[in-house]
Amino acid sequence: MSALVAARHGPTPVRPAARPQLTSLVDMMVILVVFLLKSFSVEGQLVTPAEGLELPVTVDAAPVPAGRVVEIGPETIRVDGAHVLATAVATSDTTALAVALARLAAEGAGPVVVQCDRRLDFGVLGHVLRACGRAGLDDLSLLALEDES
Amino acid sequence: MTILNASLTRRRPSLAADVADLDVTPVMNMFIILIPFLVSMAAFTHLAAHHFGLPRDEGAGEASTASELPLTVAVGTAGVVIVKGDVVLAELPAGEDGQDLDLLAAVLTDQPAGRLVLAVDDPVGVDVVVTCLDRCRAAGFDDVGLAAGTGVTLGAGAKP
Repeated sequence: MSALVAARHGPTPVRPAARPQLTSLVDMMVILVVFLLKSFSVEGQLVTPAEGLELPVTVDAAPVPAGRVVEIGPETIRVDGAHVLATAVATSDTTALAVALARLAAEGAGPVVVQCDRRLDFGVLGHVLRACGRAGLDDLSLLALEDES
Repeated sequence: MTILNASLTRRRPSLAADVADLDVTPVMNMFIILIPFLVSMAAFTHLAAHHFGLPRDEGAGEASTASELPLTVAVGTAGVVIVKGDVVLAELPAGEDGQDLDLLAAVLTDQPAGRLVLAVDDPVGVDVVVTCLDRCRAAGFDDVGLAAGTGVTLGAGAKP
């Protein structure tokens, strides 16, 4: 039957292979590559800001050193990622922080990067810095967001 | 016939575009390799750090000369006081918008660069401390110590 149809209508024309239109996709990729090249960083990010922390903004600061991290958030104070004590009782409870920082100093910690929430008062930060000083950690840096404007 | 085609494409460029059909598949392949690499190396937030020290207990009695004493900038909610030894260099009262840190930068620029101690009162915000560190660094003071203040009281010295 099919041979009869083929004989009646002649050979089936060969269609060219369907090629998707990629031009718009290439346009999008070019825009994406330009954006990514603009935010390309050779040094990478040595320190990641803690979740829920609003860092203060700086206009003139140095690159971030690689070191141990002390996070002072609105809720908790963490040393090297481990919860030490609540921020609300930071100025009254000195033992837990002192023990954690002494352990850090005993491990031979190099620079200590302090991440402090911008909404806090210097009272809490000063208390943690005094504890760092008593533990022998005096190579300190305060982390901030660089203002690019 | 060739002459007819040429004249058609001259009048209607869309016909010429149909003829030149570029194969963009290799470009797409390159992008697919390039984009994951760029995403892994991109830094969407730029972080910076202020390096500071914790000043030792170095009172006026321990320094051999007055010029060896560090410049002290006391920051409180009432304002900013700049002291060298026991001489008050400037008092900058706080306005409604807080501390006048632009004036602080102007005063510090007139001072010879050296060691500086930033004595901050407890109620002062952390963002004010970072702005003070910015101003000190911009004025050429790289060796900054951060200390707890004892309360700023204005009215004891000169105004700029």
